[in-house]
Amino acid sequence: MKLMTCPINGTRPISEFAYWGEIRPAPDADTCSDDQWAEYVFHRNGAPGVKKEWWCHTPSNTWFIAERDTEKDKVLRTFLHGDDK
Amino acid sequence: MNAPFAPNRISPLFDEQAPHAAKWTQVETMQTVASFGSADAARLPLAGIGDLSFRRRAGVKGPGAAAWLNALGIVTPERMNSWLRMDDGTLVLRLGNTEYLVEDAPGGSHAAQMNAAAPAHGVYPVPRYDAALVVAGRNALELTRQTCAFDFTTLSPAAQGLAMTSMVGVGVTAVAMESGGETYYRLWCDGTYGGYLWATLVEVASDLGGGAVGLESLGRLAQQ
Repeated sequence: MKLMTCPINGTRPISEFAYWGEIRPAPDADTCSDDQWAEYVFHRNGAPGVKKEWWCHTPSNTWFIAERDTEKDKVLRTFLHGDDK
Repeated sequence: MNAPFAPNRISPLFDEQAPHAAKWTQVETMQTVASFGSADAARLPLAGIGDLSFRRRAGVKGPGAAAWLNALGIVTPERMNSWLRMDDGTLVLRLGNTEYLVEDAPGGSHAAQMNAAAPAHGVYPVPRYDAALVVAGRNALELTRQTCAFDFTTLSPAAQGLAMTSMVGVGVTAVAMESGGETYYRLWCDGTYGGYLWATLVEVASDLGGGAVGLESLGRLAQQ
């Protein structure tokens, strides 16, 4: 069984979580070029590596960030938004 | 179905319960099953599932929620994911960090008070239309093992911890309580999933010698 650790609710089966994709800061829509906006909207980085991703513990609707090595499928740490020290 | 009155609240479990109900009653203006039949009393010590959805409850969340509840005379748990019972029997659950579920004891008025009071800055009402269940009996723990990946032995009544987890695919809030030295569990879930949760738990409970139990046989469990 795959496990994920919610910063609030602790370690639970992965079936209690929803994955919401890599954190991707949006460019300023008022000042960026069309190419930059298209890159943000349509392109994703599929290269394996350590990424920060949005996850949600669905029974409690707790949104948090997981730092995950997508090459090894290993979660390095999880934390709430704003707690990234 | 025999319902000689016109309740103004309907249990979210009504559709699942109606074909099996032998006797109805009305509690807190909600039509509730008093008895599913003569087997109720025998089911309860093994794996009894009861419906406590009739309890009045209200919820709030936000950074100002605890102070707002305290101002209304409602005591709030100090730890995240924990619960307490006030002297008047009111249950107060702290869900995560800043969300609270308040469930009145029979005849209580805290929920009505919360619904009537204007939310302060940083306080957001959370409408509660929960299906509220009680799972009791010596096979109750086994029932949770068959329906949920969370280990319910970590929920001791003394520690007053609370878990939000997934049971048969439904998000539930679970706590352990004690009555007469026996541990039993309270579950809350979104009312729209309540019928499925009820039917599934009753089916599993029947394999463990139990099943649905009406309010008359729940006795003290319905009062706590």
